[in-house]
This record gives sequence, structure tokens and C-alpha cells, in this order.
Amino acid sequence: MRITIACPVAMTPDANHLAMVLAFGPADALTYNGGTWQDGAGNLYSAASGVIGSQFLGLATSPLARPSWDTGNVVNMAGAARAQAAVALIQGDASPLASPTQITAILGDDGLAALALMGLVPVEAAP
Amino acid sequence: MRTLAFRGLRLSRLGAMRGVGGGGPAGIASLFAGGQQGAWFDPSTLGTLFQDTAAATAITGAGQSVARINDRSGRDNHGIQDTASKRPTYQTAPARLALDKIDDVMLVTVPAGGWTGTMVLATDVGTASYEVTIPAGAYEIGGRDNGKYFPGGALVGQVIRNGSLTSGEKAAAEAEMVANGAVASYGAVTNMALFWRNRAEVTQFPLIDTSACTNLTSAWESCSNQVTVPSYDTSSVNNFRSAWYANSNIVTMTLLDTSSGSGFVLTWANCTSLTNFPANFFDDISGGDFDYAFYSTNLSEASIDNILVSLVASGIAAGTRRFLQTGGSAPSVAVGQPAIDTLRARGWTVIVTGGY
Repeated sequence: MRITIACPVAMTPDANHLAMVLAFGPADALTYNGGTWQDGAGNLYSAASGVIGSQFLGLATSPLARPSWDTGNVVNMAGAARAQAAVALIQGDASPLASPTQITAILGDDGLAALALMGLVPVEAAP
Repeated sequence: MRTLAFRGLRLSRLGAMRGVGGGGPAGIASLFAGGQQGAWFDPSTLGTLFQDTAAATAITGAGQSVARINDRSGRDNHGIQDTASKRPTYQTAPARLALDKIDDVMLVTVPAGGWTGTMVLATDVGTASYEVTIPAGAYEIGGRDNGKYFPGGALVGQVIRNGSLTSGEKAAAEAEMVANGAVASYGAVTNMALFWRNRAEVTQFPLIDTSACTNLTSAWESCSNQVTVPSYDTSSVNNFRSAWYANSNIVTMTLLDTSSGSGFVLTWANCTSLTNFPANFFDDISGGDFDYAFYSTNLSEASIDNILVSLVASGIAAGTRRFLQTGGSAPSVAVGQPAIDTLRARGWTVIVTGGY
């Protein structure tokens, strides 16, 4: 199963802390970088897409615990919790459109199709 | 799990032995037999793929994320991805690293001195060999620019060798990768948007089959070390938007078939060295959207005249009709300016260097 996530650039610091909690380690602080996707209003997003295991959604929606590797308190747990609260997993009839006020997530095998469903396009070079 | 890991280790060692010419068949392995620097990534050798960066847990089946692909060249230039979401997915039939073209990329550390030579890149939609110059440091295997741009949907094989390959060596390497399941020709691809964007390491692109392609949007955008554009068959392309945007080392444009073309927005914008542009390039175009097409170029007077005269020859007098050039020379009084007059009489908005 694949999940594709669009994170408003303002939320990427918190979202990277959440990624460290839900994935494997400090390298997951690089999950979101830059604002290379944009919506129709010009709001910028960072996108990530990856294969997840069957336990992922349960972990992602449960109270967060500091990862066992994080003995040095690298993870900002308050930031991770803020990001978790901002996640909108699109299901049913909910609008799939990305919004600068939420972290939008869609399950599906085609990540690019998910971003298109969110109304996002790559940021183009300007002359 | 231990058994699987052990199997992976054994396969890895066998692969490495073949990779350095240790008794296996020649072919790609022979390209490194003299100790040449480079890398060889071969997803068909399952023992080179791992679920972790330390190479402790082997990839055992389709659908697993690949954290590490070991180099079969014998130089230990392995591909690594530390961040979970950026890892490609192993798939079979053919064995390949599927790329989401959002963030999937692996990094290889190119040693001091860098690599100048040939890259053979085999994908699920086409295979080709490129001349490259790659500086020392991190280099992206898979999607360029943090995983976003790749000429296909999956990596079936990749060789980079310091020191150019002969045409025979290129053909043999490509054939070996095609035997592993790569598609040989790009001839069936209709949409090449973003395929080679930001490939600044490529100094010479190969002549590939683009005969079915209708969309070249940003295909070679920011390929800043490309000097010569091959004579592609672009007869089916209707959208050339940003195709060669910011190719700052192109001086002379190659004559191409634009008979299906209608969209040329930003196509050569920021090609700051572009000086020579052939006559008759646009004689048979299908539409006239040239907004920012020649923004910040260095066109000679003869070249901008060639372009304007060719637009007149196209006869376009309906639909979008706009043209912009900045930088370089102004159109000539004798040839360019009368052409602009004709275009404006046909409803074009024309902005050129010099302000005529």
C-alpha cells in the first residue's frame, strides 16, 4: 500500500518530526523539503510518497511515543503532535483538494495521480 | 529471516564476482575489468538489493522498499537512501526499481576526481547512453532533483563508467539491460514531459526515437551542459513548452520538424548562448504561441530574421498569436521588420529586442 502526502511548506518542520516518529530514524527528518508543488492559488507544498506497512495507519493515528532510537531528544514531540493533528487522510466523499491549513494524505498506488487529485501541479520555472 | 538474509548475502557475493569478471560472462562486467571507476546498478541481481542501508536485510520479493543497491562494478559505489519515503520499490517481471517520480531517489557518492564518461540508463520505457561529467560528491540514482524527474517509471539497469564507452560497448551494455527486461527504444512513448529535466551532468544526449511523442514539456529543461541537440523526429510533437529552457550552452539550434507544434511557450527561454537559429524552422507549425519563447537568448540578426520570416511562412492567422524575444540582436530593417509588420497585420503580438 502506498501513501502520498502533500504538506504545506509552513508545516514541513513539524511534519518532518512526525516522519521521524513514524518511520525509522533521524534521516526521516529529510522527508519534506522545499515547496515544489503548488495549488491553483499558488500555495506551495512539499510532497512525499512511499510504501507503508499494514501497521502504519494504526501507528499514525495513535498517541505518539518517542522512538526508542531518540535517546538524545532529537524529535520535537510537540511539533510531531501538531503535524499529526493537521493530517487529513482523504476517504469517502471528502474533498481531496490540498489546503494550506492541513497535511493532505491519499492512499493509492499512483503517487502522481494522488497529487493531481489534490489539485497540485509542479512549480514551473519562471522566465 | 536469517535464511533469507544468508541467501541474499550469497547472491550478493556471486554478483560481485561476476561484476569484476571473476569467471562470469563478459559484457558489462568487462567495462570495469581494468579497474575503471564507476558504478553498475542491476536490480535483476536480487542479492544486490537490501531493505536497510547496512545491507543486513535482503530484498526478498516485489513491493518492498529498497534502501540500498550494491554496486556490481567492483568499486563499492553503492546506492543508498536513508529516508524511508524516498526509497524506490522493488518490482518484478522485469526486475526493476519502480520510482514514484515524487521523491524516490538513491544517492551514490562519486569519489574525488569525479567521473567523465558514459552513462547507460535502462528503463521500463526506453534505454539510451549518454555522455556525462559528474563531479565528486552525492549523485542521484533514480529521479533527478530529489526524485522528481526520470525518463521512465522504473530503473531496470544503470552503468556509469569513468572513461567513455565505444559505440560497441554502449550497444552491448544496452543489449544486456534489454535482456534483463528493459525496453530498448523510446519509440512508443507519447509523453516525455520532464523526462531529462535538470540533467546538468549530461554533455551529450543520444539520438532517441521520439517519433510517437506529442509532449516535450520541460523534457530537457535546465540541461545546462548540453551543447548540441540531436536531430530528433519531432513530427508528432504539439507541445514544446520549456523543452530546452535554460540550456545555457546551446549555441546553434538543430533544425527539427515542428509541423505538429502549436505551443512554444518558454521553449528556448534563458538559452543565453543561443546565437544561431536555422531558417524554415516554423514554416509548417500548427499554432502560434511563442510567449517568452526566446526570452534572454543571444540570437544573431540573421537568426531572429530567420525565425520571423518562418513565422510569416507558416501562415498562422488565427488562434493564439504571440511572440517574444529579449537579448541578442534586433531584427534587421530589411528583413525582420517587414516580417513583423506582416505578422501584426495577421493579429500577432510581437515583442522583439530593440523594441520595433
